[in-house]
Amino acid sequence: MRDAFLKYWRGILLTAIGAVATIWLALSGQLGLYIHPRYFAFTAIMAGIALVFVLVALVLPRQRDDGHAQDHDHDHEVEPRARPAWRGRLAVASSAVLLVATAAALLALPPTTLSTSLADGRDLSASGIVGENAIELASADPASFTVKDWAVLIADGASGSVLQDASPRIVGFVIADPETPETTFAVARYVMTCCAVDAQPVGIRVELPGWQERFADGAWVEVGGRFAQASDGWVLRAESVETIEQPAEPYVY
Amino acid sequence: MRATLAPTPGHEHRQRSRGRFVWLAIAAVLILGGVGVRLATQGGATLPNALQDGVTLAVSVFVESLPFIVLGVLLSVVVQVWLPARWIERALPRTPWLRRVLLSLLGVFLPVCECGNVPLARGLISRGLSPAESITFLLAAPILNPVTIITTYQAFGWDHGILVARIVGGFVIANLVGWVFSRHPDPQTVLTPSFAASCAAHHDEEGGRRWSRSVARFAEEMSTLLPALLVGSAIAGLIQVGIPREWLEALGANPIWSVLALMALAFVVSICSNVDAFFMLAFGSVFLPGGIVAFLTFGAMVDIKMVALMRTTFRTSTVVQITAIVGLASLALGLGVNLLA
Repeated sequence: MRDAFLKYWRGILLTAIGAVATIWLALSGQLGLYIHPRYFAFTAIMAGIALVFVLVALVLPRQRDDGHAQDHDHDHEVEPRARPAWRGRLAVASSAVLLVATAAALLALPPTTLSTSLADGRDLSASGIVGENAIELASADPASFTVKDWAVLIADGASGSVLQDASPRIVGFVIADPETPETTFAVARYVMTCCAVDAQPVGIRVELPGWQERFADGAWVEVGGRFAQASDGWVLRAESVETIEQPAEPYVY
Repeated sequence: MRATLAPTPGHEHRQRSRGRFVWLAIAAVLILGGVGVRLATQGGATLPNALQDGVTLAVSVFVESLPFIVLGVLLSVVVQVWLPARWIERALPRTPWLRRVLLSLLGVFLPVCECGNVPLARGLISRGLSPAESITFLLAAPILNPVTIITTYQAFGWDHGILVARIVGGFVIANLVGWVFSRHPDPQTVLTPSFAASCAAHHDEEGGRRWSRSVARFAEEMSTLLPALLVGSAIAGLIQVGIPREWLEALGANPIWSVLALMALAFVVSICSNVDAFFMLAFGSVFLPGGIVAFLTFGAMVDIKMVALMRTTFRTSTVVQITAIVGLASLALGLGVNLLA
């Protein structure tokens, strides 16, 4: 039973947890908390295939000649030292812990976005963002722009006229400006290129004296206003700021 | 170890089917238990910020990698169960270095991320390829595949020779490591004893129904690879919360330290080779091009997640040797690019 667990059922159980968790994320529309939308279909299909294998393995009898008896004989040919009993027990115990921890992390804990504190002190400019062409953006409809699009236009440096005429409404979370925290904050979001591991904060600076009395660092807000050229680059002079719930899709892509 | 009294066939059959229901019950308890806890604590269960971020990062590495592992295992099952045994042998040339060169280009047809290549490399070994040949494939395929080349081009174009250095460097390093291991006096000893044993077992076994053998192979590969992937993802997620990124960024402008710092970053973040160029672009303004090339070659071949996965197949000493050769060669490549650029 121990060998069957370590060689066969451990994989089936872990695959079951991983596939169910992935499909649950896909069905509840939360896959975007972890990976870029371009992988949604591939990820869901592979999880479905994995689940079929799991169900077949759980329901149909395991093939007889293929299991431990044969491998066991060969174990003795290649590895004459038998595994001490305590190592076997340790392997079973650590695998059991891994199973429970995996079920806890993937199923029991609610899926969530990265905390805003990871963005503190990071470069918020769009200098590292690719795939966006500032010239194309300049002729697009600004109503659909995210904070990333505006940050790309600002980083481009040559879009002054577009910025001057714009009256954007921008959704993001609040990060206090490290230099002038009393009057300025950044409204930022994480940009994901592949998965949450590569999430980079991108934001633009917002001027609103006394903002700290109205909302806290890390709060989600929708800011409206107009861009103005300050001594150290473009800032958004806020005309309206509302605190909002975190959007269902907190990342931008 | 095992009971020596042979049970009667009928008794054994009953035991087997009872055993199966035990596992079905355990699967149900784990899944329904997890789902139950989530529904019962709706929004209530929260961890401290740093730990929660570590868990979120680890889960994202796992969710991103799992479909590639599944695809890799499926390809490995096809190679092991469905392809005729001598087919690969006949398709490849006899000259060892030419075989390795061809195998390092196999990734062009199999644009799977590096973690998906591990099960396939395992399948190729159990189908008779030498460890050196499968290592060459394992290291080259993440870089020499169309998706990686296109994303690297999108991110960097022809700037500073980054694209060319990555492609040529990846090819040369993979074949260098393959050549080194082909000189090994006893190649089977680079494999873990249990993997070598299961290869020997699978060589002999041609009978049985293919579908049930496919399911068995799938379960065995998942039993080996998923624990490694999970532990690798957990370490990669938690370590990122533990090591402030600024430490690495502070080293970026120095010609030597920028290369070493970015190799350390590549090892830690364990990002897929298909998209790491986009990730790297964020550092493009901070780091010298040699560091970026070292990141893009070293990280595609070796990182925390890959070390955990490679350990399922190769002995620790083999993994250390692969890491050392790839690391030194990437360092030399990075320093060379910094000198020329």
